[in-house]
Amino acid sequence: MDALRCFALVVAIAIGGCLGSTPDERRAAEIGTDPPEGPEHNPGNDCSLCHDFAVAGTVYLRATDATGLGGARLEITDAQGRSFEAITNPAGNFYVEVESGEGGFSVRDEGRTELGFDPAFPLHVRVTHGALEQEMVTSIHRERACNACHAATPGADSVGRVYLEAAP
Amino acid sequence: MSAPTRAWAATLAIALAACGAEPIPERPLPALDAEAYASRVHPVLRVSCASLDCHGDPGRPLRLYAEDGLRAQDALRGQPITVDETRWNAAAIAGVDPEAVAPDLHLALTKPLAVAAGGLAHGGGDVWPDREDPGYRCLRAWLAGESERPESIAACSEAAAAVDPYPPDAGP
Repeated sequence: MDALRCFALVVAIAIGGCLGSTPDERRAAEIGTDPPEGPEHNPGNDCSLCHDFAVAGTVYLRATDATGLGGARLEITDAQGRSFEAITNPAGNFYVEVESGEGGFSVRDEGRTELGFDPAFPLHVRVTHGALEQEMVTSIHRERACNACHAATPGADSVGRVYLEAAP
Repeated sequence: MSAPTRAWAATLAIALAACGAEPIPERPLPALDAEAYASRVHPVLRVSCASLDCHGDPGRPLRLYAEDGLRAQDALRGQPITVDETRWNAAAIAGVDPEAVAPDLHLALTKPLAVAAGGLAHGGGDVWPDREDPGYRCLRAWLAGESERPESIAACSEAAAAVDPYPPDAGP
């Protein structure tokens, strides 16, 4: 009987392995099978599932908002004291790409910032929009995708979205 | 300088540093005090180590719970740290080096200590530049069972103040 149970367990594991999700399937489950293109797509999702940005994420006005906040300014300072900025696009998305080793940064449109260095972790982040301001209370030690920790639903392993204003 | 040359220079520097360092005498560690961890050490590690992208990641060998990091349950998000969570943190720290023969040789101290100061390579970088850093002295005192000494309390307070995300004058 023990041998039979063991055999059944092995078969079950093998079948489970065959049916298990591939990285592409996990990505599709996260963002949908036919994601739209462009820098405003998939706000709130973990950018690193598909992209290799230096830093990227989504800012919301309030934690429960359905859509992101455009025009929010992020000021990010790396471990070597180098600061750079990003401004969110209408979907609330921003993304920073290392373009050269020449230093400095350049804020482009559509949420994109070109960076002249690879930022050294940990990073410190401040977000502003008009008179609203929030400073991240902890540092970013290695995660380049803000939404990996700032998922939509707060829980054991998520502190919830990046937002600027408490709900009224 | 080429990569092999740099690697050789680094190895030589570490070897020389090791040769020149005072040997650390072996000293059995006491049973770790979870209550002292919660009151003295947790405020330090909460910010400097336990973020969600470091030791707040349950997939890492040293898993730490914290108010702004990993919580033991979804419902605890936004709540103060619990006795169970700090007790499990204390157990996790003890568990990374259960056979440590002296507080200063415990992996929880040697990993975050700068390599130049005798520490080991750490994916999270050099958290403490040397053994005089208050964070190092705070955790060391707890591992040595000396958390309630005045100098240990002072070290923990200094280290916690340095990383406190909610200083008293920060407003709401």
